[in-house]
Amino acid sequence: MTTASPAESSSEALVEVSDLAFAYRRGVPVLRDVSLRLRPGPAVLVGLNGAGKTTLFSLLLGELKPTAGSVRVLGDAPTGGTAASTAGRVGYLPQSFGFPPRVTAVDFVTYMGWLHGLSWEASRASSVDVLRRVGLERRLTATLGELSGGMLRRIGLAQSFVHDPELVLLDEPASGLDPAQRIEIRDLIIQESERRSFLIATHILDDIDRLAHQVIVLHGGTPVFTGTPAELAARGTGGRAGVSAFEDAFLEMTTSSSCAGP
Amino acid sequence: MILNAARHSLGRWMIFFGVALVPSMWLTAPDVDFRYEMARATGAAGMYLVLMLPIWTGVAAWDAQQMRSRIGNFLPAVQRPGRAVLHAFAGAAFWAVVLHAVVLCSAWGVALASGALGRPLILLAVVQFVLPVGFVALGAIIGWRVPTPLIGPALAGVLVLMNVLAISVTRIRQLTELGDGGWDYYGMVPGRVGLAAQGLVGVLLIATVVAGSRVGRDRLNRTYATTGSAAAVAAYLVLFVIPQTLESTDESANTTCGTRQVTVCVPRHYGSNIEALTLSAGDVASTIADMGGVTPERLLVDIPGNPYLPGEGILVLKPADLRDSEQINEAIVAAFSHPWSCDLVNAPTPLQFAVYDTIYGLIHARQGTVPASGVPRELLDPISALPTDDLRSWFAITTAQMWSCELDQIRLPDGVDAADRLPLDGNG
Repeated sequence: MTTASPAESSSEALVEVSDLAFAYRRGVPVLRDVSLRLRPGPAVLVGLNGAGKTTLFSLLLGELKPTAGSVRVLGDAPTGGTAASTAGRVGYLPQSFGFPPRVTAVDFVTYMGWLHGLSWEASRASSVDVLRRVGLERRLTATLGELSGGMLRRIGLAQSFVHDPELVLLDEPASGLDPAQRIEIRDLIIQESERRSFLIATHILDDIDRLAHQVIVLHGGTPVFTGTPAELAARGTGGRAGVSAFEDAFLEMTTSSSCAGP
Repeated sequence: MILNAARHSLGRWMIFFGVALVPSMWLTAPDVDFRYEMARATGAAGMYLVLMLPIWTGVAAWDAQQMRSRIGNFLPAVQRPGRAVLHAFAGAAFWAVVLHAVVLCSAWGVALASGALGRPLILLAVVQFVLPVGFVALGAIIGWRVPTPLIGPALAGVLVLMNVLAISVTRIRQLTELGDGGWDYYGMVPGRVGLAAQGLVGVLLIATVVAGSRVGRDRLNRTYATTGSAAAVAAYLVLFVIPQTLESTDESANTTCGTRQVTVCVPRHYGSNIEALTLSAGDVASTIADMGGVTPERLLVDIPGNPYLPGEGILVLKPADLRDSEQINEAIVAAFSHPWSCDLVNAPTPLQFAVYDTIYGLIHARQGTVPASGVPRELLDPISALPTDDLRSWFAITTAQMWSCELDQIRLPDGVDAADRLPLDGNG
């Protein structure tokens, strides 16, 4: 387990979601009856493909508007005119993204920091610092086209907290990485959890107890579990051979229609 | 930030293209006399603007679209996405302004050095810097809004086509209404019409983009859209209003004049030559008066933008002429014998042209000077041989008709048959 982070000492809820529902135009509901209250600290959102994880992130970021219910991130509604104030306090690493290949690492992260609201000079200084923290201090002036997939993920991480946000949303941060790169990214997140809160959408259950203090299992657009990693592990039946306690519990919840949080 | 934006802008490659245009513009323009130096500078700047503004618009659109395609997925958490538009704008605008400065300063600098450039036109050169900036803003906003890499080339292509169309339409109108003279007299109008059309469409495009955008969704800052609109409007005003204002400016702001029997006006940079020019014009006017003829009240040096009035003399000078009293005299005689200000609307017939050259030859003969260009001996000889009173009468009537622009009334003296002497295509 990670140690308690400074962010955890705050009593303010990072994310409050009440009776949230969302459906794309003329589509079936993607999310329904979603109510969550996340405390400061690292949290993990797990679910099968199509469970609604990325849609929930889009709602938290204000990119989509709820069909019903309410969303508050860091005390603000991310839509309705307060998005900018929230955005400056939130970082985001999307599941898939592109990079301008001829731009250097430090220029790109500086640019993203500038878009996050920093001055160019402040963003430059912060970029050098965060790139050092993600282990790319020797590749500051390398163009992004020269970097490996793992390094680009680290660049993605660096841009997500270059502006020193309170909360960072990471959507499948280890997607497409080999095991060694995945461990690198995991350790970076753990290291950075000392400074800020994370909400991480992932398929990978092995690292949950290392990454997070809170776990949300999303299934069919509805949270079917909210609790600590230990509580999740306890929900497994132990009847499945060759799987971890987390995987056993997750499969139990996502193959059953009647699950509830603790 | 600006230098960083410039470093990553496609515009950095345009500098080579633009600089390459400068010598080509120099080489393709005639270097005949200083009025053409002015025309060359104006034409160079005009052509540069007509061709390059669409390209700069496309460059900015490309920069913005490319950046959005690369970072689009990061944007939901970005606090100030409008800065990305500003970044694309800054990169392209930096190179546009640099290149515009190179081209304009080259073109206008030569004109200024030659003395063919007046104060209001220097002002025009300065305000022209607004144009590329306005168009770059337009391109950056549209490129950011339209998610296809085709937007840059398409935008540039459409604007170029608009220019071609506007120029074609304008020139057809000129040829229809004004005849061949319109090609030269309204040389800059097509460019202005093209640019003005661009400015107008730019405003409409901006309005469409702003009105139709889902600003609330991606939080594209309205400030930038407003800035772009303002820039396009400013470009439109600069294109349309300021040139019109300058053209309506009294030439006294642009020229200096001297009077001895007739008034002679030259660009201020040639002010030191006004005494020699006025003296020579007075001498030639006295000669014409002695012959019973009429002269225009004013001679103006031929520079584009001078608002000639019909019946005023147009003085065509080469810079070298100003160092030589004989050349000055030659230019003055030519100006007093050719009513170009009347011919601007209707090109002279062969008969009229032959009569002008005959008048030119008669003045030179009276002065005892040698004409620089050929005179029609077929007319000059029999007319010179007329009885003194007949010659004086014909000379007086003809010069009066010339400078009152009653050109279709011009006739040869009785007894001199043009058809027998000149290949006049039946116009005699």
